[in-house]
Amino acid sequence: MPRLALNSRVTIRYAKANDLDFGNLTVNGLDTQGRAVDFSGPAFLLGLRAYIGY
Amino acid sequence: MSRHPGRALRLRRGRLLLATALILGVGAAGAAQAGAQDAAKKPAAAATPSLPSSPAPRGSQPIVTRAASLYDDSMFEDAIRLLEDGLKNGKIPAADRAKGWEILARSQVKAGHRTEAKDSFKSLLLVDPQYRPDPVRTPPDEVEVFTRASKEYQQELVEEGRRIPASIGLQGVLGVSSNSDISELIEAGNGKALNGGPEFGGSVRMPIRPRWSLDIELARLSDTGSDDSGINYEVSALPLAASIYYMAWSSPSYRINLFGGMGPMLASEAKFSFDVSGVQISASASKTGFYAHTGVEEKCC
Repeated sequence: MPRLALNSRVTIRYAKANDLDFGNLTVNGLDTQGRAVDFSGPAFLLGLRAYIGY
Repeated sequence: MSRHPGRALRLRRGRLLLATALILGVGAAGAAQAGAQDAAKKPAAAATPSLPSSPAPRGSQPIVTRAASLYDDSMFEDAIRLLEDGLKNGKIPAADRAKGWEILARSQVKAGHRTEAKDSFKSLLLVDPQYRPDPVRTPPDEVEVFTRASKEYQQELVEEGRRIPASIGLQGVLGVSSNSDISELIEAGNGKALNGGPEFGGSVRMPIRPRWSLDIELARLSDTGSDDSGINYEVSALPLAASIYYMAWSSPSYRINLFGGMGPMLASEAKFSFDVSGVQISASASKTGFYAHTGVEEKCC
């Protein structure tokens, strides 16, 4: 029977993918070429862990 | 008790002669001869504790070396007495203590004191956590007792909070991120900038050393928005991170870990979609990015 525990985490992360290629698409008059997906920043996690290595 | 009383008697007689020779100052030649006779009586056992032989008389040899000789001669009770006295009274130098506990445990197995042998193997693991018996050279009865001791030792470490057992986890994440490149497009259409949102993921964690664990985590990051011109925006990614966790502090019900890790950010995608006369039109691009994180984790209950 695994033992369960609650855990929380405060983290700072760098999460980025640069230079996405949309071709010549413009959105709201702005060029989209080379833009990045960027989830960098602080994050707070809540989780449940099952300890199985007893 | 020795399994070979006749041999033990001969050895004791030999040691008595050796001591007499030394007292009378007969000299090194006599001692060497006695030592050679002594060595000739020892069986070539595969299970020997494998200490280097020394030309010095047994009485002046380190305790661990003498105990190893007694083990080789099947004089297990004598080896036990010698090592128990040496280990309890600090007569064995720190560098030899692991070997001392090993020979003591192995002698106790051979003498039939399996419970005491298990405790001695645990003491050995406290001194040398990486110790493992040689499966080829060590007799199966000794390996069996060591295996039991090792399991109990690991369990005790877990209970004392000094070892983190393997685990799997599920988590929800509240991230704060601007996705500024995409938010700029939304704001140009009088929409509200992205600011992060709920995320989820899972991980598998394995202990690699006392206090240290390796964690492999896959998460799903996403955020959505829209603007006044009816364009919907969606950004998402799947970071796969390998992280090292260090248990900085623990009690039976509470633990604080420090961690850091990195990995690829897979399927990082931005997608724009809008409706034209009932037809959904979308454009997207994706790429693999880079992910790194560090922080503090606490576990409770």
